[in-house]
Amino acid sequence: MKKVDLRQKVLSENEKIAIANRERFAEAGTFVLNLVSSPGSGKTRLIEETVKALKDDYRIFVVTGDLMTENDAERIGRHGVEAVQISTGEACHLDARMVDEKLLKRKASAYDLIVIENVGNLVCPASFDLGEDLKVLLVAVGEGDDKPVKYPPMVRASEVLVITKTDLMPYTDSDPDVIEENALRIKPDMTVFKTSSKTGEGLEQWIDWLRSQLTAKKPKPHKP
Amino acid sequence: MHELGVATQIVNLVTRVVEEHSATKAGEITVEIGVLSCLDSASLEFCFDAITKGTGLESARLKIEKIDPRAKCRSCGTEYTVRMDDFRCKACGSGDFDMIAGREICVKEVEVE
Ligand SMILES: Nc1nc2c(ncn2[C@@H]2O[C@H](COP(=O)(O)OP(=O)(O)O)[C@@H](O)[C@H]2O)c(=O)[nH]1
Ligand SMILES: [Mg+2]
Ligand SMILES: [Zn+2]
Repeated sequence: MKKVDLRQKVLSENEKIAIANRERFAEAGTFVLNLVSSPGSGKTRLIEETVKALKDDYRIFVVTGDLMTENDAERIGRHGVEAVQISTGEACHLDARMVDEKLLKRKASAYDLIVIENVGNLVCPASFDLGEDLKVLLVAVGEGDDKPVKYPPMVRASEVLVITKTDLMPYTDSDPDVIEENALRIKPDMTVFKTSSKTGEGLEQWIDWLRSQLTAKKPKPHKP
Repeated sequence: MHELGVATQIVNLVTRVVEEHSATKAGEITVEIGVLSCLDSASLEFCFDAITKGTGLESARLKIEKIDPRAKCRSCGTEYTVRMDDFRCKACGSGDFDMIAGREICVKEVEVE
């Protein structure tokens, strides 16, 4: 037997499609977020608050992923923005092809902001690049302050941390500062927000930051 | 959960190498897998064996080398193996570092005949 020295990176099919997606978004100047969390951390609710705040200034498209039901897309669609559901059936994560297929009939350039709500799961979405600009990790008050330490690859893969449901603090022994510290030990350069979609606390900072990101990606958005 | 996809890519790659070397079969395939890649070694082997069964690569087998996550500090230059619950510099505590290993999925070496 002869040994062949290869040292070749395995680029998965998903990565190839993700790269194509990212190029398409870059060309269109569309800013794309991929929201990841455990089930129930408040992704859909945060997206609802986000579209309410931004829909008059930006053209927004939302893609939501769950195993079953169209509930989340319906919840978001009620606010008057385009929202489509990907029902994954068995798959525990979205992949770049699913996002590509949902966008095929649409032009990325028709949107300033695309928000992708991934399937609630803190493992697999870390390995599946969708072509987004940033992954936003949500951890809710009360779901376990050590969540970031339990799922370090997901923390490493995310650029932004939103600690949600801060209104629940008085009712739990959970401390948002501890969640933040745990995450920052793993990824010190994370941008961190603490929000309550119920009381509105902290949402202004999140929205302001999003606006600055949108401006950076495309200085002059088309108003809807 | 993407072990099957990775196994398929490895098969494609090795099939090409076998052809390029005018060989007929492959032996040991050394694969480096970063701990942060979330790839499960046992299920990668399982997938690889399943899809190569009854094909020209039936005799090939994976040798998986796990790669620890490593970082290089930008403040003091130290290279270190990170702890999964604290990635900061072991020497100076700085949070300003570059990851230099731990996410790779790489075919390092292939035996052909
Ligand atoms: N008290 C409180 N409840 C919230 C907040 N955000 C979401 N929820 C509730 O938590 C549950 C799960 O939220 P959802 O947005 O569906 O989570 P997802 O599975 O991550 O999309 C729902 O009952 C929400 O109404 C919040 O900031 N405060
Ligand atoms: Mg949801
Ligand atoms: Zn250092």
